[in-house]
Amino acid sequence: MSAVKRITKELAEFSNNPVPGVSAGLASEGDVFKWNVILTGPQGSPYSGGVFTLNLTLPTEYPFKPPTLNFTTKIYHPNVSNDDKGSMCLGILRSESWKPSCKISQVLEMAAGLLKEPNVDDAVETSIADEFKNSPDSFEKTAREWTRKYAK
Amino acid sequence: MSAATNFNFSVIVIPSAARPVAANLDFPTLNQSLSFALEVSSPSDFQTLYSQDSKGGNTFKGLLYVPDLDPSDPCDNHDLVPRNITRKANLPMDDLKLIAYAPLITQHCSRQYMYSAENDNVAAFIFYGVPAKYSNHTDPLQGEEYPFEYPVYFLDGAIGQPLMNKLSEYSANMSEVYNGFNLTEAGYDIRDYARIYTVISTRNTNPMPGLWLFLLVVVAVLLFIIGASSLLMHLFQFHYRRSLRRRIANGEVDLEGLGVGRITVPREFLAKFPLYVYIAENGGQSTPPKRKAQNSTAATRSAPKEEGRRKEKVRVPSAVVVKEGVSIMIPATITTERKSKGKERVKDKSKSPTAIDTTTSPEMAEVSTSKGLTLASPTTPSTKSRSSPRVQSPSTSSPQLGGAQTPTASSPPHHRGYHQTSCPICLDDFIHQETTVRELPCLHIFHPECIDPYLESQSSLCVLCKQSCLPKGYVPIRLTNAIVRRERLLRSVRERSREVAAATAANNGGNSNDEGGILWRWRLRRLRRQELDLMGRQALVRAGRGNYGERGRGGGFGLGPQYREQRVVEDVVRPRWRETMDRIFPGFR
Ligand SMILES: [Zn+2]
Ligand SMILES: [Zn+2]
Repeated sequence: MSAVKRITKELAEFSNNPVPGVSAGLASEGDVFKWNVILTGPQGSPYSGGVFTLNLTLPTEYPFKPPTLNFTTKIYHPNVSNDDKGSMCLGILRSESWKPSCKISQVLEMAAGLLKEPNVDDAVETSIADEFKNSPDSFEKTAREWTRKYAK
Repeated sequence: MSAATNFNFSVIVIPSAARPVAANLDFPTLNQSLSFALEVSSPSDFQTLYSQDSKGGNTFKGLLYVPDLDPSDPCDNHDLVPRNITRKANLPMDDLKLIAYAPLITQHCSRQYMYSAENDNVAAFIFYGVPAKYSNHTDPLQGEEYPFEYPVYFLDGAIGQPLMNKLSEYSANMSEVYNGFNLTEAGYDIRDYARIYTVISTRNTNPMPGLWLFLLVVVAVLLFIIGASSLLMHLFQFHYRRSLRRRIANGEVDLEGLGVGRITVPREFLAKFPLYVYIAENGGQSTPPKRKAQNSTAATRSAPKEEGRRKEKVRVPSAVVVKEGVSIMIPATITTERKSKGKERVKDKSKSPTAIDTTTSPEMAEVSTSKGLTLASPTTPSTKSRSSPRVQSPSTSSPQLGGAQTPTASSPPHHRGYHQTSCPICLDDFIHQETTVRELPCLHIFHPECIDPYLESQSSLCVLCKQSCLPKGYVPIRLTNAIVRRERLLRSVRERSREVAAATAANNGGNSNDEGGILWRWRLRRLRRQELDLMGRQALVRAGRGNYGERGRGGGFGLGPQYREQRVVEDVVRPRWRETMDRIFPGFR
């Protein structure tokens, strides 16, 4: 029950103090463990102009266990698994480095930040990360293409 | 095959009037001084040529006789077989047990005799050797399939021929047999029959012959090897367990990282973690406004010594006893000190400038320790309606109510821990002078109601710094061989990954690997397999948790923190034989 209390509190906090470029809300009334998140592609990034929807799932053990973030919009990004799950790989979301003091808003902020600046050292798609490092132009091209294709 | 051990020939008397049961030749033996008896028991004197009886231990009994041959048969050699030999016709009855007797001349003759004996339904056949001028072969069977059921024995000629002659002496009636006159004189009826009665004793020749004995020895040796290696492995495992225990006790092993199931903090340890009332360093500027007025004075007072908005908590020493998890009893040492409080008040004040003028806050029980750390037992119960846990110092008898000017027990900037202003779990702010907090050994503080259940049931690690809350040297788990194995594996993987890196760096082709290369390669392969195994399990865990699927990242020997992940995986259910193998050969993999 404490999970619900905390999540409710965080939800309220988030609505009062939203993260720029991020809008979030419960997927359905009554279930605080599932959030719908919409990220807007930041200006100057290959994702700009795109609208990315994500599912934020909170475990019942929250905040002791980390939430999970899944892109439902296909995205070409080193930190997002290129499969039907679209799992976002964030260091702080690993259960061994997760801290309960980390808030959902911080997680979302980090997710929004990753769109601006991918973290190649913590990449889940190593090939995309390599491309990002070695030939940023082709990476940007594909990312832009995917954004146009899937995130409009 | 059962071999004969003993041949016994004696003369028995069969009364002419008797009608004995064929199977039971229970007749008196003829007076031996007047007749004949022969015992052959030296193994060099006889052979067992054939026996179907596999068990052995049987005896074959019967009257000795020479089977009839066709009169024209040249085998009926009267040089060897006297004409007056005991034939079937000389025996008193038809249904007596018989043992055939014949010289071993040629294979053909042997056959003739044996067929004849078969017709007579003999119990056994005894051949005896004859001088070389008659024959030179000793085997009536000559390797052919033996068609008869009765056993066949062979007697040495030196015994056999005299016996044949004796047999000829006991073929007629009592008066005509050897020593017949004396026998009838001795009272034997002249109409009675005196015949040679034969008993052949056998034993099993292969109680444990060659093959069986060999197999037995092999099994015994195998058992010994298994037992010895099992013992050795158990000893090794014991040694490993002991050394692991020692290393855990020394705090060298990261138990949580070992992934050996859930490690939690027992209640008795939890109860020892300090529990005290949170006190903001700045006198609680962030506390509810109703207290602001009083607090501000203290804040300004201590301001010069404190840096900015830093907050401070005052610790009750760890010796506190927690009652029902809520109230704190101040230990006796402090109580006694407190008794002298009144007298030393002035001195205290001068020593520690931050000590609050107790005259203005009489309900404040305050003790100054020699170290200069001000211990305060804040007496919060100012309002009974408050639901938050209370700290209570039962020894302070002075009335605590009306705590208008409660707090302000600030101390010199003695910072042991972190500056936490809120509970990281529920995100609620700690309230100055009111919230009871639990301090873990790492000095992080939480609401006890937030952290205690977690530590008691989920993990032994501080949620913030992942430091273990268990005392060093405490071994919270039963050290099983599986745990030992896992720990060794993890260590070896770690070690080997370094080795591998070094080997790759030093050009992994070359001659260096050929030297002892097989072993090296084997270890490498084993290691790789184990690592795959580990990674597989982790993947399993991840998938089960619905976390991001770790899709073969790295694949090398990079040992990231992901090894912690296995914690949830207990050993996969293994087949029973694996269990048994494990019990016999612990650590075998
Ligand atoms: Zn809390
Ligand atoms: Zn900690």
